[in-house]
Amino acid sequence: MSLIEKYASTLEALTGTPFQDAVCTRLRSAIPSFQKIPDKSGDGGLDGYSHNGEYGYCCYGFELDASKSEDVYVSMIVDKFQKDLRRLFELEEIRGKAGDTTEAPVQVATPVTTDAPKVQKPKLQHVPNKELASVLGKDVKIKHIRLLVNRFESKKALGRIQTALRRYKSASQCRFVDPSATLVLDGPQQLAEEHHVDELALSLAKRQMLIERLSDSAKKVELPTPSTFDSKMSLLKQIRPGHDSAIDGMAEAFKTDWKLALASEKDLSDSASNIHLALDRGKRRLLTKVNKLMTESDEPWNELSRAGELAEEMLGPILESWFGDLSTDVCNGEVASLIGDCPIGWEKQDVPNA
Amino acid sequence: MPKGSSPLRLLASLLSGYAKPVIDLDRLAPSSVYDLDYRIAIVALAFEVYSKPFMAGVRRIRTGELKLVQFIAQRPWLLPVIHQWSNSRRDHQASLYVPQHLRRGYLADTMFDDVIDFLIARGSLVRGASHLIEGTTPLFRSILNAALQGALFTAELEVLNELRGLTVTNEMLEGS
Repeated sequence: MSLIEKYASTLEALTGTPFQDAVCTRLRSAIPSFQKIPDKSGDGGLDGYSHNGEYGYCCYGFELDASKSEDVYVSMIVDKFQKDLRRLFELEEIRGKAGDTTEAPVQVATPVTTDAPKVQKPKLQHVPNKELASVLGKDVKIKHIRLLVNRFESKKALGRIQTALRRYKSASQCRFVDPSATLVLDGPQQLAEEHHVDELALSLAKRQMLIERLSDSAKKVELPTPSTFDSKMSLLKQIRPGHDSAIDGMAEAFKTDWKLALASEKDLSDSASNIHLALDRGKRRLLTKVNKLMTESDEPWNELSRAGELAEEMLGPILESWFGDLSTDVCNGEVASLIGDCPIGWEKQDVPNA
Repeated sequence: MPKGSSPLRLLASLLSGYAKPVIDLDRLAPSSVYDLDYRIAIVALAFEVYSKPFMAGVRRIRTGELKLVQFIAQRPWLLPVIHQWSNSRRDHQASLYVPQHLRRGYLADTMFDDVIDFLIARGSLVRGASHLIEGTTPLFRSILNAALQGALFTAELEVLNELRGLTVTNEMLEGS
């Protein structure tokens, strides 16, 4: 298997944010002017741009499901990218009222030449895209749009997306996209063949696979002592009545982190036993240190709130070689496991002047 | 602020002044894969299942093979991976690509090396050039009998039995 094939198959295995991150990392290393757009407060429909904003990039890494047909995947791709394009063209679809049978679903709303009775397409209306204005800057218009998808095996999506592009161009004020803009849809193979592939590119893509593998594995993890954890949270609700929803939210966050820690430990045990051994010992040292700080302090719970930083300090160097920047999350998970599992607990204290 | 630290802060603020901490250091159980008794038992079972007669009444096993099979015995979910690795041995590229995690995992199992050193010191094993040979103070047969009588380590034994048909090549043991 060549490096290009390995790289393409690695990209194909990625979905969601890990796929988007892998593509952006790849483009950044190949195109000096590539700018990734953080999507924390809205990316305006673009995942990145290059050439001073003249090239725009949108990614879509969908989940594979053996029960779905090829046509379903095509519709998913078309829907996703039509939505992205509408945001770039500052358009929104106005759907008819419930019961209006002339309303057509988006995925079949782009007939090119057919004798079948015409179905009414959803109308388009202008909706300003404030995020895009702040991302692209003044008087910049995209001239080429590149859509990147993790599986590109069917040509069926092409015509529908190109038709949508023409329709949006004619309906839009084209404030951020040039009326003559072009569009291509590419998959992992095209991305792999376009620029050189080396071991670094492959290892970066595999890192994204690690993230995906861990998050998948964390979802399937069964917590070892959920009843102990639940009883701790019940006690907390008794101690602090009136904070139930905050406690429930916090408990969920702890459980998520705890599951990530368990998934990470399994991954290490299978693939890097020596690091797993170091982590096993590191956790004990961490608990001893937290215990010491809490015992010596007049305000023990303030010391607990620092346990996350302490875990990063003590476990970070062990985990970094394997998990990279994900090690912070794994450290938080390890702290959550100390609370979720048995070692750190609490009992009611008489409150003076209560 | 590290991501995920806010639940901790919330917990600390809820407990502060209202609850006393209870910390039980002994409740942090070490992973069973670092338990000496457990590891001796797994090595013994793997030796009993896999070793071959060497000379009259004495059996032996390749050191790397023992390291690999006892690693899988503790991790049944890796069975498909080892089968895939074994089946890909005719394709050199694939044999390098498929099992990297497993290869790295079992090669880095330093606890196994420590357990073997202990068993050699105890006289239960003798180290050969590339093999481990039954020593003068046999231990493994009695562990296997105890496991069978008490229905202990059934999951591990099941994996070991399932691995019987597996071809373990020298290439797979490279570096062990």
